[in-house]
Amino acid sequence: MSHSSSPFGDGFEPFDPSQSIEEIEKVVLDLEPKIRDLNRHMIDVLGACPENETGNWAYLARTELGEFVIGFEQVSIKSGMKLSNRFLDVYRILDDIDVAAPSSSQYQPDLGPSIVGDAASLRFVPSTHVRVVRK
Amino acid sequence: MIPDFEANCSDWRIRISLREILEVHLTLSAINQKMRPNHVVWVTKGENGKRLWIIRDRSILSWVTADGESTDPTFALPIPELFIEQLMEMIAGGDGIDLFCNEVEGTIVARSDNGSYLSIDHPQNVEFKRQDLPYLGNPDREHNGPAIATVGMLDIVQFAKFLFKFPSGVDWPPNDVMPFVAMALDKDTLAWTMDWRRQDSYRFTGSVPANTVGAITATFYPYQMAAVLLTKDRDGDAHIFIDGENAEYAYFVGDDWGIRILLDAEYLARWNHKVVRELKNVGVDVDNWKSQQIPSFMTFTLNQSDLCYVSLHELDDLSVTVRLTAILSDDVPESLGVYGEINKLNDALVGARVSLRDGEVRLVVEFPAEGITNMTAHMSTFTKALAQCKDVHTFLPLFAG
Repeated sequence: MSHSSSPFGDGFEPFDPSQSIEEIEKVVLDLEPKIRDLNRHMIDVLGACPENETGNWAYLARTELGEFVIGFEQVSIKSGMKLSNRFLDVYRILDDIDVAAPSSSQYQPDLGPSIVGDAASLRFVPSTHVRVVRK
Repeated sequence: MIPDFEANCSDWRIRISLREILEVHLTLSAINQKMRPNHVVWVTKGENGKRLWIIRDRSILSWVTADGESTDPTFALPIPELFIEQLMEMIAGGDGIDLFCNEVEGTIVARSDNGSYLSIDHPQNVEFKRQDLPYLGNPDREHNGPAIATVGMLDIVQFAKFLFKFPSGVDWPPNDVMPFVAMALDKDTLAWTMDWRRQDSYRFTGSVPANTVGAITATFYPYQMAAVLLTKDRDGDAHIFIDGENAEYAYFVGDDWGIRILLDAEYLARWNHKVVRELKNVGVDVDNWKSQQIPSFMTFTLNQSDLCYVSLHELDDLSVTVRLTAILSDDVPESLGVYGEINKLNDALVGARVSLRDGEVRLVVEFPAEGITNMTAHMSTFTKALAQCKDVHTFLPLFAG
């Protein structure tokens, strides 16, 4: 899904680098490297964005007030759900790291779950079932 | 028009047995004597496939486990407490109930074995949170000496009955906090004390045999937990687990049930919220704290930058003291020069004192907790003393040698 007819999305003014030398410097030397870094990290964690050929998630945009901002691709509901699952995976990995690196040397991470039993197998917050009203 | 309850039903369905709905209902009734219209019970599935029913109130969480089916959904379904009560009525005469959602009407629907139906609006604006997980390990805390006790259910029930035993003739003012239990696990014994002296009665102490590993003492608000324990079968054993003296929770676990109870101190429950309120009344907001437990001290800021502390201390005679503290200087060595300057400061201060502890020069204003209604005066004393001491960090090092 394309985010809008403008490459910078609805509500954003197309960026015109010809406006001033200072702005070109700012964009080339400062902002574009940041966006590239951001896209690299996001692709590492989330995979390529399925909504465009480059796989990038973030792009440089500008508000109507002329302020530079970072825009993010719009995604379909289906891709959004995949993204949600990916975030859950990331959360679980991070949570495991936390559990694996306790600050106290005396902490026995398996002791509590072994006593609590079945209920301790619910280790991560499940998604909440929400009210669905279809028309 | 007759509603078609089976229309637009969800692609999942949960089969609930009479036994499990009875357990959930009893637990719910024990925790909440009156059903609350906007509260929910959660049903979800653990990673080992077991079905979990979870009921949480402020300081207690209880769960009931049951054999789930492979088709059980993995999400957490919120069921209004009121609906559980209705399901108990509905299930009478059958073996179970099927539960599903109508995704056009936005309702939860129950169908009994004899073909009767009941539906209720699906709760909105509720979310399963981390606090709703039955087991909360806390690797970031100091863990020194977890304790485990295995206790026969007959003894656990006796323990619960004693917790519920109010001394006759006891009368306490409205909004007072009822006694917390002090529970000790040690030397193959579960012992407890209920201290009713503040209500002009006596301390009650008892014990039952247990198999213990480790030793610990903990205090908590016991009444909801006792009510839940009294609903359980008297067969078999239960396990009690407290993960060290800094643990947030105690766990009581049976074959298909469990309780997580927040460990707190009674004097903090009595005074903390009053101190926060009185400070707010004089324009001082304490900083938020992270734990669900009531903190023994809180921080606040004066003059935009002076970090200060308010703490509560219980003395041997059960009286409670409020202490306002500011750290004037740290890394201050003990020396005659330093003590001389501290003495001079104390001579000039009114209602406050400066002392050297753990290398810190501390300014303290203390008063009995009953005096918090005069918080304006206490805070005035504290801020004046703080102003008098504002240069202490510059001159103290001169006297350090």
